[in-house]
Amino acid sequence: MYLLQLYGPHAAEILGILFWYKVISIIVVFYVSIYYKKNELYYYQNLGIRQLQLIIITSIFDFMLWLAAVILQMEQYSKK
Amino acid sequence: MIHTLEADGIQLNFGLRQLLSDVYLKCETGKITGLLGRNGQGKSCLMNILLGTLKSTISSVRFDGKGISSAAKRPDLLLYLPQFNFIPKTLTVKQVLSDFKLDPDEFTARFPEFEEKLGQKVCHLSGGQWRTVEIYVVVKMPSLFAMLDEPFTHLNPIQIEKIKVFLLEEKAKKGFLITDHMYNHLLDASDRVYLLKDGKTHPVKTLDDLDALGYIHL
Repeated sequence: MYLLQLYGPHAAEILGILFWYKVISIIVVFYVSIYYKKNELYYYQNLGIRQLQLIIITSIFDFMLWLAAVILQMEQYSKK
Repeated sequence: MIHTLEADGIQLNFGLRQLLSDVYLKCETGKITGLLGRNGQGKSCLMNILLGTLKSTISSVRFDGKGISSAAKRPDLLLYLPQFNFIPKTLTVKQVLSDFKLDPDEFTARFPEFEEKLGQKVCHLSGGQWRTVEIYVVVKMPSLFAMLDEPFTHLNPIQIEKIKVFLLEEKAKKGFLITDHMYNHLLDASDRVYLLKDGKTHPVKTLDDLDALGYIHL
């Protein structure tokens, strides 16, 4: 968001880079959390929630949150 | 109706080392099956193979005679209590019971020491209490079978006796496969006991059998 503010009217030019940065950060966060929270995966497994379901749902939620923040930021600039 | 969980022909190699070579195991609903074995003999690996989370070289895991490759995806068939704490430490006892759709009143009726602790996070409980909550949810959650890996760890003698009574009551509803180093308690509570030694399961009944197989020295 800081970069979008910094680039102002030219923010659209860095959206591609930010998108791939977000995708890579989601993958990194996923691997780190699987490593550090692997014991807790049994909790969800016993509840019938598969590891893949957890990954997909949390990643989509994370990405949508990022997308909403980007859209709001871009709208702010388009109104100015 | 009696349901069965059977495993045979399980082979597991780690590099050149053959950990499991000739395993046969049978669990039935309404019964407690005990699994003994020294550290490193492959008890937890065997449980993970049954669960389908560890792939073995050769294995045949069957529920009611039907082969199933990943029981981990079927909590209605098989639940698993790992030997470490698995409940996220930020959850309260009440949240955990709610997640597993269990009645808190029924829980406190059985374990009155939790009456004042339902709102506490599990990480603020003692090791024994944390373990008791974990055992309770795995035992009470509806499923055909439950595997308990070292359930008595962290429990004091009074808690162990309470859990044994609880398991003996609950076995009417499901089949249990339990592994623990407290062989006296396991022999006492189990209907059938196997000793895992040198990659093979050996049926045992008495302390003399365990002595003969070198698990204990009488």
